[in-house]
Amino acid sequence: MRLHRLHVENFKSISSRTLTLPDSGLVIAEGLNEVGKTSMVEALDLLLDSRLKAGSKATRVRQAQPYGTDLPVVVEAEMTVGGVRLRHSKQFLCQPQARLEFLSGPRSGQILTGEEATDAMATIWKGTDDTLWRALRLMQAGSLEAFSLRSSTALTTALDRAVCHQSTDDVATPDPGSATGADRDGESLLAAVQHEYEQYWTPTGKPGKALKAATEELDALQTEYLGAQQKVAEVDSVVADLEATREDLEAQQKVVGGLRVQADRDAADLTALEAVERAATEAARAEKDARRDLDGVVRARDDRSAAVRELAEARQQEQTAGAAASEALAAVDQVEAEYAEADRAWRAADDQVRRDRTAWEEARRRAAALRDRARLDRLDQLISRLSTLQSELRKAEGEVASNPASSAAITSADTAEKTLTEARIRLDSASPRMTLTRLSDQAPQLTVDGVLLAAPEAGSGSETTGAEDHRAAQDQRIDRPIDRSTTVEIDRAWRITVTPASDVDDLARQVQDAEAALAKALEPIGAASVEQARDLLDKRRRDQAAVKDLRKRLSRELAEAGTEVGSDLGEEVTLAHIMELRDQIVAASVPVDTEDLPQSLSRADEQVAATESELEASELEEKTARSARDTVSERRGQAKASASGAESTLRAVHELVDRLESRLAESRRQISDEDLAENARAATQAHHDAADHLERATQELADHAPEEVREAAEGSARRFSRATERLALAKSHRAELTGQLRGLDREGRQDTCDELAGRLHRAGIETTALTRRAEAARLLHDTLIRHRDEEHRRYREPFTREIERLGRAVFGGDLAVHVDDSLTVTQRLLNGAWLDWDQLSTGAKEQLGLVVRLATAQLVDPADGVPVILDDALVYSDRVRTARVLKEVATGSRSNQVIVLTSAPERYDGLDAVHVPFR
Amino acid sequence: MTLTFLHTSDWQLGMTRHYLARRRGAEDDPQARFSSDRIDAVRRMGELARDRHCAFVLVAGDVFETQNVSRQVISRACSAMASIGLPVLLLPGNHDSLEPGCIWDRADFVQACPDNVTVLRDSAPIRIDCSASADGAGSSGSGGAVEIIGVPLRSRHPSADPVAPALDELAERSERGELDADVMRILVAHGQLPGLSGQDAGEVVIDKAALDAAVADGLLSYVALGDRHIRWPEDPSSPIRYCGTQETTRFTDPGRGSVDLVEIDEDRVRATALPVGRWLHARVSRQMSTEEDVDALAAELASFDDPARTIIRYDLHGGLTVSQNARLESVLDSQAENFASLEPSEDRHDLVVLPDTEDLAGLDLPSWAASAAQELTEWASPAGSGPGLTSTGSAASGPTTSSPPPTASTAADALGLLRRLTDQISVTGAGR
Repeated sequence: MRLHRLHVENFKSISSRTLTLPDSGLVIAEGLNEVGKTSMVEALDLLLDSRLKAGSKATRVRQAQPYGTDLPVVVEAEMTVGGVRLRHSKQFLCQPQARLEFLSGPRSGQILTGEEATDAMATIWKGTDDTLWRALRLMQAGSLEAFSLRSSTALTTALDRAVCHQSTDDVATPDPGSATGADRDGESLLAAVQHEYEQYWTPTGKPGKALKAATEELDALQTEYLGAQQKVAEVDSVVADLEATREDLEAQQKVVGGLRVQADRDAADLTALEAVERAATEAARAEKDARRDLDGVVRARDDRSAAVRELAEARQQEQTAGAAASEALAAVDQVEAEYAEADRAWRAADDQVRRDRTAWEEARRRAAALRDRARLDRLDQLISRLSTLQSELRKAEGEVASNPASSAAITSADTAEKTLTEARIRLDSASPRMTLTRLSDQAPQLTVDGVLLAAPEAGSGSETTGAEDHRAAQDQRIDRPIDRSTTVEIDRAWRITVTPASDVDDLARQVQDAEAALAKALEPIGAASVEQARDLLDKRRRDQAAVKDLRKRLSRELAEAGTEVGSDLGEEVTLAHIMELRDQIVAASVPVDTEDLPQSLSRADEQVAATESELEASELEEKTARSARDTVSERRGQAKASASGAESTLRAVHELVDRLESRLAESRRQISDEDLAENARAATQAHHDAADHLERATQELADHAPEEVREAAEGSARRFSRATERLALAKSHRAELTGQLRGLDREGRQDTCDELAGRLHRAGIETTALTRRAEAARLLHDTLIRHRDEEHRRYREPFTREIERLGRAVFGGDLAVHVDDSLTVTQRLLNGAWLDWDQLSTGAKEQLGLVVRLATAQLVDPADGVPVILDDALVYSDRVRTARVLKEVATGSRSNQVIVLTSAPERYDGLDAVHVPFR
Repeated sequence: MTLTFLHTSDWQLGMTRHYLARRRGAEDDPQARFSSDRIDAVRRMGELARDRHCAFVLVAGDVFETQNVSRQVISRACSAMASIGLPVLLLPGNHDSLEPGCIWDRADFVQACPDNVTVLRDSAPIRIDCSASADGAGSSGSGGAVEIIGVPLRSRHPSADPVAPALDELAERSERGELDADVMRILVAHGQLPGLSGQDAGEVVIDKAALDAAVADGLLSYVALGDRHIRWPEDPSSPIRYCGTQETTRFTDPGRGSVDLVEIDEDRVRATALPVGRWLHARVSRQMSTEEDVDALAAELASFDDPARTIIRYDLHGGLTVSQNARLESVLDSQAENFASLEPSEDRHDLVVLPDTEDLAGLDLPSWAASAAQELTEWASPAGSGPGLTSTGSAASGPTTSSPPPTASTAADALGLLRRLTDQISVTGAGR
């Protein structure tokens, strides 16, 4: 689009202004703030907005009317769009009207008004690159966001060209010059393809509802149809079964007929066989009877022969037994004679023994008598010794028994005496001593405690004084302790009583107690003093030793006596025993003629030995004789037994012979031997005949093959029966199948199947067509999208190149940017690092945004291009950068329209531009 | 004496064709028309039979399409057969064999079966006294009695030549001298004669030599065959023949259905096809390369006189540009409504759509769209295996995915769509 003239009336602060533009180059529209620079662009937008009819009362229309007036808002522009020059105007609010006049092209001279004008303008405007129109303006305080130029067909066409310039092979690219159709950007085509695609497919590429429904319906029909076919096939299958059953039935009926004939024939055979079997059984029974008869007769004949034979044998035995009996009797006689001889010999020997024994016993008696006598002598001596010893012993024992002294008693007496001595010493030491000394023999009578101190010759002393006193008295001197109240009477004239201290009394009492204890200890011994007691004990010990010695001697004597009397007494030998023994010996002594007695015992013993050996010899002889007799006696017994056995055997044989003879006689009386023989012959013949008959019957039976006949009969009957059963089963099966067939609704099944076949066919055709269309839509859709994306990728390179080329003049030689597929600048390289658009400074965004626009304007074919409008832009940019950018603007404007609306025209003074002042 | 009768077969009443199914949202029901026309043909046959003084109508098997046909089909069929007014002899074929539970035993049929109809359930000869008819119809001359010997199929897939036992029986009767020299004997059978095209390897066939011999020996005067849907042989005097169907059922069947009028005179046979069918199965096969070819196809389709009873399978060959193809499709779309069925042949149709650089040149596209179109063009090119290496930029990057390349037809469709959408945009654009 190229703008030639813009006229505005009554638009905000503008009452009437016309802006005329050269075909290309930079136009600086300058004016103070609020003079209405931006309003000019807004007015152009109202005019070109095809949705906005002249009669519109939209807010932005009403806001355009100068405040407080009801003047018409008028916008008119003259421009070239798609190669056609037009004049278009809209008058809003007051007497609204629209007008479109074609100034060139095929419709040149045509004038449209009202909605027709607006609609026609809308259609024509579609040929312009709306994206570019919106992108190539940088409005005051406008957005600094990154923006996409992807849908700019003018740009992409230009980029196509750029790409093709590089490519030597220019096949796929249509002539850019012809690309003047209604859908230059392909958006409508894409939308249409997308719409078509979405009729069949979901956005994710799955089959859509209709396609899925069609496929599913087809599948369902297919399944249903197969099911219906199956159901028809079921009918056919029952029919086939029935057919098979029918054939089976026919075959079976034939079989049953054949089997019946066979069974009847076999049954007849069986009946015939049974008659033959009965005859054979009868013959067998007859043969058995005949044989039994024959056996009886033969047995009788054999019995007779046996009896005769038995009798003969018995007679033979009888003879033999007789001879044996005679022989045995003879033997008995001979043995008897032998026995008599042996017995006589034994008796002689026995007599000799008796005689020898008498002689031996006599010798022994005499020897014994001798021995008794000697013994008696010894016993007498012994007795006398023992008696002496015993009396000595008894005496000694009496001594011991009468002496009561014992070592224990002596010890206790010793102790008592010691205690007394100690007590006396204590008493002495404690007692004042009283010494009475006779100074002359004529000294007055002095009694101490009543005891007359005797004259020295009067030795007897007082009984009442102690031994010391006595001795002292004897010594004419009494030196004694005053251990008790002592009374001294002198000459019956003076009584001096000395009384010791009380503790002396105690000591005196102790002495008294000790004296009493000593006396008590000595009392059992019977001694007056300990000395005496000790003498008594010595004597007792001596006596005890004597007793012991005597007893030893007695015991030795008795032991000797024991040997004499013999140990058989089993107890301690006493004198009484010996005495008794002696008496016994005396009593037992055989009264022997003492005169006859041998001289000595040894002589007597010799006689005994001699007689004894004689006796032994005769006894040996007697034993031999007895043994011989016994042997003969045994033989005699045997012979007698043998003879007796022979006799009894003979008797038994006699009896047997008698019995056999009588039995045979009896038997013969019943039937004679001849008759017996005759009977046997007849029975043999009868049996022979019966056996012949049986053999013939058996043969006949065998000829009938009874097993086979029976088996055949049973088999055929069984087969017939089974076949009949099977036939019945088959008939029942047929009835069953027939019933089944009737219930299957075969007509309905066929109808359903036929109908489904038709529906399936139709659905198949429809679905195939639908699927085909869907596949085509998908293929077209996918291919288009792929190619578009591909191309967008290809556009990046020349676009980037142009931005960088322009940008380097502004930002320096190292500028690099990233452009994505949507032809949006996304990143810039700064100091070696890639910065996202959002990370750029506001000024950089503004400058880069302008560079992108200018690059676009530069790239786009002037015929496709739109004016670049900069409304007080570059407010964020420093002077150096601003100058550089503006230089680029000036350069870029040589082939494009660049309109700069500014309140600071001095910025552009150095540039080649048309200056239009706004007032 | 001259015996005149109608020989027909393979009525296959109750037949359905899936491609005749009612279109979605359409009033027209081609299948219903097809079904009722097939039965109406039987009525027309009756008119012909009466006109031509036929003695009877022989139906050589496959009267019904399946054993499962609806009661309505049976009742309409019976009604149509009753309208013939002459003896009608129905032979069970493989479609309606005497298998257990067969249609002939169904109460629907037994109740609806008219008196003039006889089902040939076995090979016992059925004697029809032609001279007895009041107007002398069917035969002229004296003693006109005919023996019909049916060879019904007892199952769908007979395991042996079904005709052989009947011929044996006939030979035995001949030996026993039981065959009346004055009586014509006609054998009615259903099955394949050896040597005809389109037979399966293991298929049971009828011993043609035995039939020839029986005819030569004078045991049989005529053998009415069914099963094949063609008239065969062409020789009208052949006494052993297939008669074709009353309405065609396949694209191999030429023309419309017919019935054979058979006249036997002194053992000379003369068979004449009388048209009764209204439906046409047709193939339209054309080479396409120009606008004119599209016009010619449109003209050919317009030339069918009863498209509502015409089933077309077209097979187009060669190549059309995207725009030509768009026209072709609009022609086919508009004609599809008229025809009972108008569909491409599944195995023959191989028309390709050729992208045309002129097509693209006519479009005003941004450069990337143009290069996308270029790529699609290369995909769509019949010889091409994808975008060539000569194209700018796009070839170097190519389709970035590793997914398989689109088929040529999809690419052509995509081009067609591109064309349509750009047309729409320019139309709306111009309208503003």
